[in-house]
Amino acid sequence: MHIIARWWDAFQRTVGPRHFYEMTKSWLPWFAGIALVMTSIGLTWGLLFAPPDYQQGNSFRIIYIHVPSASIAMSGYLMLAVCAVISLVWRVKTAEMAAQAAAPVGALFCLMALVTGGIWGKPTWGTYWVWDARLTSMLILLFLYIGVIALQHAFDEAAQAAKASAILALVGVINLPIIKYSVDWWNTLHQGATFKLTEKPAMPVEMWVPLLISIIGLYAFFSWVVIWRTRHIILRRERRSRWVKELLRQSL
Amino acid sequence: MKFDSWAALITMQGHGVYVWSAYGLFFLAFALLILFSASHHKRWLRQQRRLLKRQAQPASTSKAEE
Repeated sequence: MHIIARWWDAFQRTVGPRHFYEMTKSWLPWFAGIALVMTSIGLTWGLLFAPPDYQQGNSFRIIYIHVPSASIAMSGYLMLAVCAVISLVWRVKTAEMAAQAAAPVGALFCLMALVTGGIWGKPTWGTYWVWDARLTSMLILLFLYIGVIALQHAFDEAAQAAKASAILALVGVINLPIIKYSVDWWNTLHQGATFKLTEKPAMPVEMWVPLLISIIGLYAFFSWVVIWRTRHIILRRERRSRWVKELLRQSL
Repeated sequence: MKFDSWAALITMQGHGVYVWSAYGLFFLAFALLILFSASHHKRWLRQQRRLLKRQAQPASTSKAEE
């Protein structure tokens, strides 16, 4: 038991807000650099150099922001759920703060997936919106995000806010497989997945390579913003601790 | 480039409105997110520094309490 207790102490320190703050300082320029380079290459390639789609023409170029947005919106929600488990089970405060930092970013990606999808839908389907399974479940994801954000700010006590929002984040996870498989389970206007683990993409190489690059770039961007915002929240929540006071005093 | 001219790039055979408005909104949204996050944090930092200065001023005595 003694060893477990010691190990537990070490674990708590490593995932503690202070350690996270110090550790991630050197990560930020890397994520920012990868995001900038990859997104620039991917989107420029997609906009200027990829061939137009034989059916959809040039409107398909919206895919280079639409697909990454939708993917990040779903992964971002999954991240909220993972943080929820970590904060509920192991009481890791950093996980609460990361969830608080990530929720608005994920929500914005979700909104952008809906908006860019709507704009793409107009020339392709003749309408901005249909109440089909994929679009509706994605709209529900946005509402879940909004619910989580609202709960994060609904309590004066940080611990209570974290608990309530974590529970909603966990319950909402059911929506993720529904979004993912909605295009297979129900008849829909929405096209199927571009990338599948088991098959080669149906698109030509010069279309999907820039998409893959954009996805990597925008994931790096998401990580960068979330880490950056988490660091802000750590300072705010830990403002009474000695190390934060010292840090602020040094920068006076 | 897949387009013969700048004009062709802008109009994209009639799809330019959709493509460019989607990209425009996308970049605007994330620019605003970064701007708001940064200004929110800066405001908080300024406020904290002011607080710390005020605490520091009345005394070199209060330093011992910590």
